[in-house]
Amino acid sequence: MKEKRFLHIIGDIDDRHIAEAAPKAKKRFAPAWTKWIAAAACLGLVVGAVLIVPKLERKQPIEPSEDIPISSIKTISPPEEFPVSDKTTAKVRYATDEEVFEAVKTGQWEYLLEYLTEDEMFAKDNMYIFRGVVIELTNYSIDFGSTVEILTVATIDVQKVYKGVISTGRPLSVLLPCAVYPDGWVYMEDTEIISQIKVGMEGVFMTYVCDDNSIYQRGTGTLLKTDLASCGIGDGMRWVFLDTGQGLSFAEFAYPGAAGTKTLDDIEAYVLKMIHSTTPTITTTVVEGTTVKLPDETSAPDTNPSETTVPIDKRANKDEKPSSLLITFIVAGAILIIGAAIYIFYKARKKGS
Amino acid sequence: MDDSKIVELFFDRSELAISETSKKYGRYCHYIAYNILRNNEDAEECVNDTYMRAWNSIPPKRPNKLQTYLGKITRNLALNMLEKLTAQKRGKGQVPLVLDELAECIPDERSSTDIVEDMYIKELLDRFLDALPAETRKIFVRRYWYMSAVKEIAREYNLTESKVTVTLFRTRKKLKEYLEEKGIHL
Repeated sequence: MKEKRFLHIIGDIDDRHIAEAAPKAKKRFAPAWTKWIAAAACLGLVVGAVLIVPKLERKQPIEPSEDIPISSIKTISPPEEFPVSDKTTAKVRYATDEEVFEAVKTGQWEYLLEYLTEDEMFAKDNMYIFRGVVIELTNYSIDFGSTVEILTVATIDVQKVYKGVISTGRPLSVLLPCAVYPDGWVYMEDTEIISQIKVGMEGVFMTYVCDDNSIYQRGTGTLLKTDLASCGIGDGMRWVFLDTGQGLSFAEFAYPGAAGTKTLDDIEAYVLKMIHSTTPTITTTVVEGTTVKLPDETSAPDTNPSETTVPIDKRANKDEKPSSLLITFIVAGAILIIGAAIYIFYKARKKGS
Repeated sequence: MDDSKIVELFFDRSELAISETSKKYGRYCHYIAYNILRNNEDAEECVNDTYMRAWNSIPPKRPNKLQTYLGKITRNLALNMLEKLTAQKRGKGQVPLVLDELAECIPDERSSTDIVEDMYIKELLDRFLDALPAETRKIFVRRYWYMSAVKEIAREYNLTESKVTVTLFRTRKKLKEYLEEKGIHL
């Protein structure tokens, strides 16, 4: 395979390039047992945060989960079966490349390209519209019992938010409507756009939001979508605008208003215009001597987003966050102190012996 | 101990050569092997084989940079070992991901294993790397020579993961264009 040969060729590059990029010793070369201390401390931190923090928080609007569930952290070898919630009866595990290739070739997915006008697409409720960079693609094999389906989750680093309650600078897991083969050249009908997605690609994404009721059923098997991702792409043609490196790729038939766009900045301007034009206007009647209250549901989009766009849904109560963070830090600190105490005790015993 | 003194121990056929090498570069070699093999026992075996290769090759060789000399031996041994092991692509270290990424910048399928051709490509690579800004070059080499994970590279160079990913994406694209320009055509 050409890539393997290239991998060997790279091995012979000049020594000074290799030396220049050498990893720093102190960070890389810890003894094996310290990993167990760190792992125990991290596990305690996460368990503490998961158990304690939600009980002390007041009700928040739906926010995406911390995107990467423990079992899919890439530093730990993935289990044969992927742990899922009770609402998922299907068996989930990581898919091999061979399984993905076969699935893409045969085209197993069922979805209908629901007819929507351009305005209707932007006026949909409960969606995120954002710009970001794909940092990871993970393929899962979902065994529903009567059928096995391969699905891909894209982890996207969110850089700008146009609609929805999500934060910039954090990874967001997005369930794709089909599997994506790593080379990206094999695709079936109705997946031409999404099949081009690759790690490193930047794009604008329009996703539906997953919640506790987002069940995907095939036959008698079910998958709770939030077991894999926080949100999803509706179909393989619309809902994404990709900068492939050789130009923009999107479903022009669905977005006639975007005709002539050449860059993602052009798409951004188009998206903002569409959000603004499809959002109901807030009207208030001012009565002298009374306080005007705006409705809870805010609909006016940001027309001048910065790199850290504030989410539009103003139901998010920012005052609650510091207390949650404080509790998390206290728990984390306690766990780390215990870990440090174990380390010191071990060293002392070693010296004594 | 200084590299030149360690090399002298090899020339003197002193057993201290291996222990001093292990003390100074054992972890470095283990890091390279582990990134490829993702298994401590296999990585250890690879490192031990590296010491044996070094013992058998020094003398007559007198490496200018002992660190990279050992690193190259380890990397080649680990890649060869990986090819022999039966492994699933996902969840087995960075090599499958690196291969997927590199597929983008290889312009054509090669059926020949011409050593001269490989040397030419290697020279082109060195020139390409020389022309890159230092940070971009280090990110590229850490990813495709050391097989380090994107997360780790971002942490060490104080960058975001997306910056590293985008840098790699753009550099691979540039490399492909450069190789095509130098006569490796579609």
